[in-house]
Amino acid sequence: MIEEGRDPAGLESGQLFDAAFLAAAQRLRLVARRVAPRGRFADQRSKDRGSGLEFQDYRPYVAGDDLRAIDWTVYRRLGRVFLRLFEEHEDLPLYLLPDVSRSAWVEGERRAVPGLQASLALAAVALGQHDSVGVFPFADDLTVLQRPTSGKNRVMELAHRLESVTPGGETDLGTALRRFRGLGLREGLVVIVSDFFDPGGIEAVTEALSGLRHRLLLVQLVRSSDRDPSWARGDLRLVDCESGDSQDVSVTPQVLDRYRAAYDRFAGGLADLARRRGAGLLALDVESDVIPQVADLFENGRREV
Amino acid sequence: MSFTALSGSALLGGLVATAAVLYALQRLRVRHESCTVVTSLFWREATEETRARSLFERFRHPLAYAMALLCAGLMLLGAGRLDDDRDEGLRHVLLLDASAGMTRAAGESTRFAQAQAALAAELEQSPRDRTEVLWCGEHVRTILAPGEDRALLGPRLAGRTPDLAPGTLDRALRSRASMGDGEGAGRRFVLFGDAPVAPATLAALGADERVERAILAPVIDGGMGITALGVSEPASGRWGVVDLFIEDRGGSRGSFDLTLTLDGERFDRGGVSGTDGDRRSFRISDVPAAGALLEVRLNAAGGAAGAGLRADDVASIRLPSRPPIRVAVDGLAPAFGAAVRAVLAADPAVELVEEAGEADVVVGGASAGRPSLRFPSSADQEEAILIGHDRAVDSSAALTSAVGELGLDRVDATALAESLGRPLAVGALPSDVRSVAIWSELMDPSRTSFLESRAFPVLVGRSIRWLAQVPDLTPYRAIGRLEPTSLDGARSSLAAMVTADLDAASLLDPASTAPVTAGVSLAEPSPEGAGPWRLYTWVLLLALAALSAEWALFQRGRMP
Repeated sequence: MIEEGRDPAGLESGQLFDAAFLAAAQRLRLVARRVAPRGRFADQRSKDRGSGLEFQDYRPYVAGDDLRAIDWTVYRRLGRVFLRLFEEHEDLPLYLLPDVSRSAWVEGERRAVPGLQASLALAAVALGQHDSVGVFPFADDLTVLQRPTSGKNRVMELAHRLESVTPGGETDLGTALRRFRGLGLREGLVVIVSDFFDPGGIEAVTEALSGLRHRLLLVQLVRSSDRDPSWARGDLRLVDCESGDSQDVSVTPQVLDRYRAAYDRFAGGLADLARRRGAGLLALDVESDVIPQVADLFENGRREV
Repeated sequence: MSFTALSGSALLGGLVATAAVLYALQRLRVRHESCTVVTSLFWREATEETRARSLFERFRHPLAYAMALLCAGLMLLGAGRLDDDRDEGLRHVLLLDASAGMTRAAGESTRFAQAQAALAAELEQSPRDRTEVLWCGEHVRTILAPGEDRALLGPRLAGRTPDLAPGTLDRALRSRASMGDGEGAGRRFVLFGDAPVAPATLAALGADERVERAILAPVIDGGMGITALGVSEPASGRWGVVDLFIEDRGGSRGSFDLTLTLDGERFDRGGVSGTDGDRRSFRISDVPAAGALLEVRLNAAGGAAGAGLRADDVASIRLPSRPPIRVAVDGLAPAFGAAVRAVLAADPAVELVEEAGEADVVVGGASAGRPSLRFPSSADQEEAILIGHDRAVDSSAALTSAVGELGLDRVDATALAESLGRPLAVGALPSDVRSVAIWSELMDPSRTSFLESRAFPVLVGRSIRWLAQVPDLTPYRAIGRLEPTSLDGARSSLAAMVTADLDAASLLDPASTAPVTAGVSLAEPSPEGAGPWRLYTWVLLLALAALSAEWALFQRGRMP
């Protein structure tokens, strides 16, 4: 429940990040299972074999191959010439789409804060791996806060930019993603940080994500009261903070049960969507510390997407 | 079953109105508390859409409505004081026995206190506008009229004690029954006390009237008291004395004794002259009739006071004063005068004196303004016997009374008339001084034999007493007995206990003295209708249980 008459406000400087947060974020490592070719040289392995350090395979020597790649040990053992193939390391563009719609700003503990913190943590990880990072906050439309850029020293700059984010309007993921596709960015990893409370429901979210050709990581901002509104009691007129629509409810256990069922259908639909898309899904509890939850996403310190 | 605070129609109307109001309230749109949420997406799915500005919404909760109606209905029934032993419109007459018998000790309080407590409890459960309370003491009067606040009864009874008078419950009941109901809805009389009610009184009640007697703690002592005290003409025939009659009754007489005092001096009594059941009577002969105060006291064998009722342990009576009647005889013929003197000398009540100025009654000669018995000639007086009576009395009444009082009925007037050859007449005249004038011809032995008849001394003696205005003795006045001089026996049976001439203020009626053996059995208020657990009490408890159940259901979310 949101206090009446409370206007969403932006962030103050230093409210989002501190040094400890950034240090914790950079211990994580984001690993792409597949990186699109023609990118910059970075830490991400690609299917292209090149001059990287990670051994990948052998193949018979053919004329014209680089003699430096011949594995002479194998030749001494087998009498045949093979080349050692190494992975070609390229960058993984990371596109962060934090939800800055009104719903992320109106509660006492605003969802926008942990959402932006998670975004910066992921950005720090990517920048630490020489990957490029772009930030595109969205509400009813998409804005370009940071075009894809790389460099470890960009973290603080990106943090300042994220702190300048202001509350938006109604959530419209479809419009935002259409605008994103129109930017013509190279295929990369799209991270959508949102509560996904689109007025059109899970169907609108599914439809919005259907045309997205990027790898996908969904960070769902949740809090315990989303599923279990214990504050709800009696006869209430519920006003949607984004649309202003009102809904009269006489709260009974039966109504609460139906509410939880509706929420579970929504959460289940989002999980199904992630599974179908091969995307990652992180339910980020906005009432808990962000870094431990993001770290859980990176099994053994790394996460393949 | 009825309602003591609301009429049946009012209650039924109230139930219908309550049901209608609750129905409207159920349909009225709930005023919702407004609050902002992050999304209403899931609430929309969880609830049905309702129109925000409609006055009514559909009737959603019939079971909740039934529960609310049950609670409201039970509370209304409780407020209406649903009762099961009250008929609608029935008038309640509560009679508080305030007779002397109610002073009887009962434990640490008295019967009167017990009756007051029972009355207050009954009054609390009776409809205010149809209940009246009567005080049945020496006089019967209303102490709480219909419609008066119950709280007024306490101050009105504060400090009041029962009157030293016999029970008047029967009289009050008869009086109220004779007045009629007036509304035809029936009456219920509830008696609070021990005074008896005659079967005839109960029989006279209407079909829609009933009498109940409130339950009081049983009387422990059997009752022992003086119930009769009186004087009578002495059997010895002596003048200046009376015979005394005393009666007591009770079940434990063996441990009680009577002591008598005359003006404070102990006076020995004789033995018991007779017993009849629990009654014991004493006759004491030739008690000097000198105006002394005789007090009879009932004492326990150990010297302590009598039974629980103290009022009937003492009785007193002022004995009559009977001095000799001084009579002077003068101016009569020698033979006739001798005959008169002989008659007067034989009368123990008469003292002959020589001087008319010293006499109470003068016979014959000049009366000197004193009552006189004269014998004029028929030439001087038209009537054979002429009575001069008090001016306050009507002549015809005085004449009728004198026929008996003077013994004229003993005179053979027919024979005398034949002897004289002329009719005899009796007349009466108002006079300042009493007088009796009889023809002297009647006293002439040569013409009549009246002087030799037995009527002559009777006529002289009674005339002397009448002229001296010697008061009659009431032979006795005993409670529960008929007065011998009363023409209305029924009236005197219970009501004539306290009489001024006897000064017997302590005598009680037999029912007060021995309440265990007195009275007529009456219906008692039904046990289920008494006490705090009346039907409406259960209704209120049911309402409380229903409210608790509703609250529990609401807390568990089983009710909106």
